[in-house]
Amino acid sequence: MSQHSQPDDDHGVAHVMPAKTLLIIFALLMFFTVVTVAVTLVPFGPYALLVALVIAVIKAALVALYFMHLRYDNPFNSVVFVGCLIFVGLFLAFSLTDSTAYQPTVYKKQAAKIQQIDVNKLLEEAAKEQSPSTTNH
Amino acid sequence: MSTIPNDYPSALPDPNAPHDEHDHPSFLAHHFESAQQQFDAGKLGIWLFLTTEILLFSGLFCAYAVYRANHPEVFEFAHLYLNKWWGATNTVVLIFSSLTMAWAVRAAQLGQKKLLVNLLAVTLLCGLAFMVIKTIEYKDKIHHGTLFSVFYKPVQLPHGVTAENLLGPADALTAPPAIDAPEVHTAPAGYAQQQSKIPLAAVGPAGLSPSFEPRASADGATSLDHENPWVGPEPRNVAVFFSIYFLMTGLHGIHVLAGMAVILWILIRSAKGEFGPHYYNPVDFVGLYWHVVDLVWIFLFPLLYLIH
Amino acid sequence: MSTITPDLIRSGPPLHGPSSNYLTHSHGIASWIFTLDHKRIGVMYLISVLSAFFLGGVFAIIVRSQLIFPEGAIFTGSLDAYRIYNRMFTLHGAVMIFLVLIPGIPGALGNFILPIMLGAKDVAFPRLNLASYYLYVAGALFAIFAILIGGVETGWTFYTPYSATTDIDKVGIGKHAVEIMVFGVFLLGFSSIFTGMNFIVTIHKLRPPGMTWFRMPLFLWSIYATSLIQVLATPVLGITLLLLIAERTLKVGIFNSEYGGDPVLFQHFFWFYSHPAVYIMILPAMGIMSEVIATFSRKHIFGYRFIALSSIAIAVLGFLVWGHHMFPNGQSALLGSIFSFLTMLVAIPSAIKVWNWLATMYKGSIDLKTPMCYALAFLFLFTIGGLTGVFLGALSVDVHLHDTYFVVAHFHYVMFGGTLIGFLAGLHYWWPKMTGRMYNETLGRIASVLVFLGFNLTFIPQFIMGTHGMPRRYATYLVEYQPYHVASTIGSYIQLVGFLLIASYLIHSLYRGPKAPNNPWGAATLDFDCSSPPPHDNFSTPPVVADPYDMNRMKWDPKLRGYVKDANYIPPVEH
Repeated sequence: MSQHSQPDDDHGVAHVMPAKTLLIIFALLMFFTVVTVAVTLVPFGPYALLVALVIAVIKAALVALYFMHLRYDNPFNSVVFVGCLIFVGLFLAFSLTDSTAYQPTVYKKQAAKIQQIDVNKLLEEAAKEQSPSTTNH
Repeated sequence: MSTIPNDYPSALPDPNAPHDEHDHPSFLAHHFESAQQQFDAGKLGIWLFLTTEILLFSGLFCAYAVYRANHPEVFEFAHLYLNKWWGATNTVVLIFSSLTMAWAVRAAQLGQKKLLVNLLAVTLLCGLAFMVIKTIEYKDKIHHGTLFSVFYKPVQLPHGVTAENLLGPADALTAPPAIDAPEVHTAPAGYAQQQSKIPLAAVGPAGLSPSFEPRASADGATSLDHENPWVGPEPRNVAVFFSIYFLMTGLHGIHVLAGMAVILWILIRSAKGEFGPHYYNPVDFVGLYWHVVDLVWIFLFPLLYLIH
Repeated sequence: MSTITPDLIRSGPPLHGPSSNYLTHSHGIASWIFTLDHKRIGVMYLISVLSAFFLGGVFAIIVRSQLIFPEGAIFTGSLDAYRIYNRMFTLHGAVMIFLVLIPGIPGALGNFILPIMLGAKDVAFPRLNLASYYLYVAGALFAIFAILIGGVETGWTFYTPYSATTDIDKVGIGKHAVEIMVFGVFLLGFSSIFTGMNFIVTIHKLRPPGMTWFRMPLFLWSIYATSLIQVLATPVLGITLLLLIAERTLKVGIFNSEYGGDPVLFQHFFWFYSHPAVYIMILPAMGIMSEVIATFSRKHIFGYRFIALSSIAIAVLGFLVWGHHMFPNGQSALLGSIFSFLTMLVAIPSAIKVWNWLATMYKGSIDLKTPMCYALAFLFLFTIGGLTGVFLGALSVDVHLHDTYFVVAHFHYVMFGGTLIGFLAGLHYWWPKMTGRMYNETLGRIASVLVFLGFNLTFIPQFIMGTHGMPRRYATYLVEYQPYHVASTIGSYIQLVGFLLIASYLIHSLYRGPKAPNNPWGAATLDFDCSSPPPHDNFSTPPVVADPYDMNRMKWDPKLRGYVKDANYIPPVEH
């Protein structure tokens, strides 16, 4: 894209956010903050984290679109922001999947299973060692 | 559109007009062809920088996610040490400061110098309030011994957890050795094979703690609620929660302080009258940084304070 | 600016007087230390990067010399001696990767050439550019300080828990060597981030009229793709290094299992950056290849859009494959399979590029100047490196080859045979432009052959002994591997001779080289429009933008001993 894009408004290089919009968005953000705290009283069970994150994403979207002007900006700036979040998601998704997938190898159940086999073998060998043919301790 | 104060030129220069060598506004750098180009370039630049900031925090969010997914009991227990009302207050403070910052950008665009200076000052005060509350919280943690890693030596139980809810270990495998205990080379008491020299992966040498569900309380009630937020023995490695807590809020706090320093600089420049409808780029870009600081906190608050 | 008269005859003479260029524009050391001129910053980067390369090379020679004898030729006899060897290969890797390969082409050549090739007066943020350079210097100083107080023996990958616990009980300042080096790398990371930010904004916003995305030379496309990776991946390295410092000093328990952490998580964090980092290293070299091969085949680049979009594809796909460094390290089998599959995909865009370069050379008029010798070397060496990467990407094969010399040979083929050869090609290609002097062509060719032969003698034996089981990072080895090691070491000495030769004729050219014309090679890109060396502000009026690979636009002028624009040339109609 070339450097002489038209300004969005007659005020110069960029759009001016109306004061009313700013206040409405602030009110919405306050509302959602109250909801965030209130929602902890509702027993969502395993979905509690998801609900909290959804509310946080809504608040973040409001901040990004209006306070950070993305709604009225060059669309490429939104591409940059969303692209960043996609890479964060990629990083978290792969790391999380992998760490939960290899956890069983360190959990006690699986470890104990492995241990039991070894331990039995050790006991057999210890028993063999204590038989009269050997040694000093 | 509000009134333009009379200390600004009545005809705004056209930001798209190419400049000559002789008619170069002082705010326009020489390698740019026009003010519009300079603004667009600066905006893209700050968005790229914010991308890097978000990715910097993403490492900590990843550590949080991995640890919470694999050891949810640590988070469910340890977060009870945090006071969610301080956290909520901080959230309100930061969102309000975002409002004043966004409004300050608007004031700069409209040439409302006095309003701009005042709004920046309020933003700065909000940042200060945030750091004061943070300091109160940190001091509280130091006082109660709930610090990170080897410094985790709590002097009291978290909110809502009573001594009778904290049952003793039902079997030796879940007995939590202290985090700086010497390496366990023999199986703990109660394990059948006394002669084993192989340390159990689950309990040592200080390996990852096993994950388990909090068990029923003494009188048979099995569900957790607000009166009984935790039933069961204290999980192992609670200190890691506090490591994550201090790392995330600490890095965030450093960014708040840096943001405050930059806002102060912008405040001084605004007071000197450097910004107006023709040039307000620094106010806009610093504002974007401040909003990202707010964004990170919007996620930190529920993730750290409001774990169910 | 609004009236652009296509002036096919004028080829951009210096505008401030016949002898004024960026070197003579201002004098005194302060004019260099506080410069905002991207060309001077590029020159400072070049000097620093070449110095760092020399330092990394010293470590390399020490490493190779140690391995002449199975019991160790230099560090032998005791565990302490072997631990010093550990420091040698760690520092070789860390210096080469963080101080030479990652900042090398973008910092030294990109900074100089990008704005001129684009048609801009400077990068978008000149002060940020200078800050990048000073962060590089600061990071280098921290790294050197860490070396001086005893060095680091964790391997350049800093794997936990060793990096979190080694030397922690040492007496004296040496116990902080790991933190100091890691912090130095952190600063270098930010240098890289700022450079990337600068280049992205420059390419997006500072293009002159007529310079559309698909009119840009491919070197700019590759720098753009590199910058995307720099901006997206490097911050994760930043947080990883900060967490490692916290792990060592505060024992936070994120990566060290002794305090409740997860060592495999460190590897995920580290390789999320470090795999895309290797694409930061190779993409600019590939960009240089596009320029050099087209120019010295006197032919339009074949498959311009394919090469351009492949650069972006490599950048994106490069983020999806980091687990292939972790196959036997505790990663789950599920992710191992996924990463193995994705690794196969990332080979495809690189292969597309190699085919396009070969097709460019086909029926071209090949001119074997020194940059072209390096380009041919690149095609051979990078192909071998890339294909052996595919071997390693296969999960089942990697189980046997992981941490053997096969891996060492593979990455030297791509990083050295790819990036460094590309850097040498670019250095020789733009040397006349940057310095205004021509170097001795014969010596250039001889040196390129020495480097090529020495390189192959060094690393082909390493492929073989890797498949026979020789592990990497070992100070001693079984006697059956000795012939391979000796051959490898001899190869490294041949390379040393080659590099010393390069250094000598390049330095000689600064004093005695013939003056360079504007366009010694006949390239059609904008960087060869201006004088050699370029004037201070590159272009005072926006340049005329045309097809950057239309070689027929240039014709040889024997008087100037360079190429000039052909006044009678009528370009074909562009579709």
